[in-house]
Amino acid sequence: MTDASIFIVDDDPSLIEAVAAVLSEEGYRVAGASDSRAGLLAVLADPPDLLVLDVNMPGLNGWEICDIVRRQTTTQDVPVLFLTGRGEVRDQITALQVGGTDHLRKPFRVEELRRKVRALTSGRRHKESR
Amino acid sequence: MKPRGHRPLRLVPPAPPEGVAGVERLRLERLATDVVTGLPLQPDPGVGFERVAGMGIVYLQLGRFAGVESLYGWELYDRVLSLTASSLREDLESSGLKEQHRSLSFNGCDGFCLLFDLSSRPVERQSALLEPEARRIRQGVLRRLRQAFGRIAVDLMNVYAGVASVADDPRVRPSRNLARGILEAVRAAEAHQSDARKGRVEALKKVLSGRGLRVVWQPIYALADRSVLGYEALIRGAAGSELEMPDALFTVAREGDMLLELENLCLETIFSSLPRAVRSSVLFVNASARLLTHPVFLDERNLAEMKRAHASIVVEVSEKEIVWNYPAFREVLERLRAAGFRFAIDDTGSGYSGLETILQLRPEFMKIATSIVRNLHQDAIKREVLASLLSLGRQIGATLVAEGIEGEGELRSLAELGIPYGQGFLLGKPAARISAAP
Amino acid sequence: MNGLTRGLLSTGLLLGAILLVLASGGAAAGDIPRLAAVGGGAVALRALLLVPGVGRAFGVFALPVDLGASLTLVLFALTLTGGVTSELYPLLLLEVVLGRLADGPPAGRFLTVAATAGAAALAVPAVVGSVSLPIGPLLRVAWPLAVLLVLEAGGLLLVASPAVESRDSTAARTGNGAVTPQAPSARDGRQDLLHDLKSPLSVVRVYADLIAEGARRGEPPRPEHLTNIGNEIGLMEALVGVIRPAPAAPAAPPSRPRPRTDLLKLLDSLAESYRTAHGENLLIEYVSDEEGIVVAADPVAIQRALRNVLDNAVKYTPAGGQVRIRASVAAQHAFVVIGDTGIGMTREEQKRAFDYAYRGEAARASGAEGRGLGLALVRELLEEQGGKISLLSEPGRGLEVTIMLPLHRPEAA
Repeated sequence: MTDASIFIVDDDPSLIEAVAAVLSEEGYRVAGASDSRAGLLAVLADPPDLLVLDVNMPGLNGWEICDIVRRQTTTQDVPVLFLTGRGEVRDQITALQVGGTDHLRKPFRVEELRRKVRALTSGRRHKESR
Repeated sequence: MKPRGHRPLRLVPPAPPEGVAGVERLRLERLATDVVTGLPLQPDPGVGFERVAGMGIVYLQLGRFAGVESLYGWELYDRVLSLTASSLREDLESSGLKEQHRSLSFNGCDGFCLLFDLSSRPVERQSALLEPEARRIRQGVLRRLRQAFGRIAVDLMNVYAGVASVADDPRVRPSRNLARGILEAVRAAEAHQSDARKGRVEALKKVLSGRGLRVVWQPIYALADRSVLGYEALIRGAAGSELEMPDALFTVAREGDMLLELENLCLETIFSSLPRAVRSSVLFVNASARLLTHPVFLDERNLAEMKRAHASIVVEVSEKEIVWNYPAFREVLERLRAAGFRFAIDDTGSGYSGLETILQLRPEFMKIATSIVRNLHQDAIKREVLASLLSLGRQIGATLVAEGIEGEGELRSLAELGIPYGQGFLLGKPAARISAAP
Repeated sequence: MNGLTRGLLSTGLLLGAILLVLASGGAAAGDIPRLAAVGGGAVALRALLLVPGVGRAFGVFALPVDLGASLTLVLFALTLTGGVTSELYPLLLLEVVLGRLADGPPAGRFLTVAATAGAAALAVPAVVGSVSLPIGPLLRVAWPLAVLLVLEAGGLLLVASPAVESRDSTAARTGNGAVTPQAPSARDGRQDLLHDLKSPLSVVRVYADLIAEGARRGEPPRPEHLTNIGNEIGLMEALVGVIRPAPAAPAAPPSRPRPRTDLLKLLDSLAESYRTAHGENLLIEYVSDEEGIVVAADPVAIQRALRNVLDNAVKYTPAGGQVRIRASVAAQHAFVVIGDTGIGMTREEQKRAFDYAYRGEAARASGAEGRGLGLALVRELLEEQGGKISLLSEPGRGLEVTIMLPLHRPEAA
């Protein structure tokens, strides 16, 4: 669903820009943070319709952010898409255990990114439309 | 036409110091609360120091004596824990000691601690109040677990309760006094558990000496046309007994150091009662690494005898077992293959090691763990995992069998993904007598 | 141990030495003013070295214990007991100067010890005759040497810190006090590298996919996508150790005989853009005495280098601080000095600042993200253009980056 809001947390600002370049073309409203703590606070203050999380980040990593997000009633239903660098089965299981919804292995193709984002933002808007 | 917009990217600046402090608070909260049960991880009496004396403790321990989590997966254990937690909350609402209840906490793995402020009651009366409460709570939890999970997991989850009272000793620091009281309650629960365990080992000895095992058969179907590939032999103890399910039997056998005896009896029971339907299809038999590497089992005459009893035997070994016993396994595999046995990895995908090593064994079958099959039609990540297992299977020439299919949605997803075979309650329950087509 | 502590410690040792002399009854009443002058002079000298400009002039940022000077002053005090030997004065001065060299290569420190030993050898006869101690004649000779050795040994322990050791990173492990970032092992380096490559690879993949999709629609590639790809490739090249990252300038015409950049104009626009982005938190100042500065350098490369340095300045300076850009001309070169009042760098960090993928403790602790490649790339960009870069910093007080670029000369190449 276009016009949905997406928040990206990744310690590489170039990657945020690249993903934003793809998704804003589709009509999504994209915001991001390269500081994982600032990203968490922004997401809790203003829950997006989809949260895209890098896994390996200094300070607070993607697993922890997802765990915390799942514990707050305001954000517990926000779908979470992980960007993982490794493809081991263990990571996929950890993604499940912290409450992740889906994951994308880096490096990914833009078509795959679009497909997953579409799937995760379809059906449910997190907030009422104004 | 696709909408071609380009909205500017909004970048959030780095968190200011208050932001960092806020995140640290969230991290601490995370550490203080268990996400599955929603309970605090520390007991909190919430009373002034002077009233620690007279605090009554009921400690409820889930008996994980079979290692439920590693056998059934973390998702099942999550459900067991959250069900136990909500059961406790409900029972406390209707409890006679509701007014005195102060704290309900979880120890992070298998124990729940309830605190009651009984300081207004005389010391002699305190245990008389706590014991019945502990029993009531325990029965409540057992009842709900049985309702939700049936007998299978619950036999492994026997719940034990212990009580203790914090003694009034002004020389002791109240926080430590309370902690010691809790430990006492834990020990009391463990004592009950240990007694129960002894009783179970005795019961198993009786089963072994009386050859009290029976076999049930669960069909494995081709998902495309529901033709029968074969049957998995599942062992059962006496119906309705605590030692009915194999997990219970094997755990008690491990406790009593009777594993090989048990496995031998299992094989004997299986091979002495093969129904015709089983004899004319493939026979799937579970075996542990310990059994398979035992010289008595590997004895040629023994293997030949098994082959005479059934022409097409597939030996199922759990993925975890292989990982732990890999070198021994590799050697054994050749002998078994030479004797005409085929080989299946059971519970694939539930272990956390890389699969590469195991796949070097080139099993003929890969049985996908129930934890992955469960609700996979609603879970994109599980489907990904399954897709990668499928492609791995293709690479090494292994046939995939999905285990524990319980819902239509799961079945549909599996068929869509191209998984060839499956077994589970939806397709066919384990039964002593084999009926005709499903 | 910071400079102040070391200074205090050294002064304390000196005063202790003086007390030792007094206690042994070696000083006569008339010598006390002289002793006081010597002690006062030593303290004054140390205080002077703590003044930032002076310390910098001597190349000292973390003041080591001035053991050499302390020891010679002990000797000096001892010789007072046997009358002043003026031959010692030049040695003392030499000693103090050499003590400064204690900061540098080990050779300097050996000289320190040698000078001290020499002074001791000269002092011994004076001491032996005048100090009456209840010990045998051999011990009378050995006593000052023993005092020397004990103090020197104690000093060596205090002085052996990362700021004093040379560029050898393994030597840095003997450190006492300062936390030394460990040089990563080769294996960790490779794992980190593989991991760090994933992000730029993902970015390149995204833009490459976008360009391919555009091509299928008959659209030409967008310049900003190509630029971004170029940047990420440059980053990856740097990560795998390729020496020359290509400047991302897709529209630049090929092989111009003599690149030129209007430096002041460039700095002006950069200052403006950083003011817009960060003016709320930081005071961004840009000053120059010149009317115009044209450098013989590629504008895109220079811009990239300056942006990198400015990004660092902004990143590592907390809110309320300043970033000062100053452009000047001297000796056929343009100088751009970018100073900030941020977290700065320790000597160790400065030494390694131009290593690839290195970030100092403070930078990592500050929580700011970054790949730590900035300065390595900047140096290469500048050296390619015939320029140079150097750093100056006081940890906790700020960092000053000086960039030197050749001036454009109007005659044809």
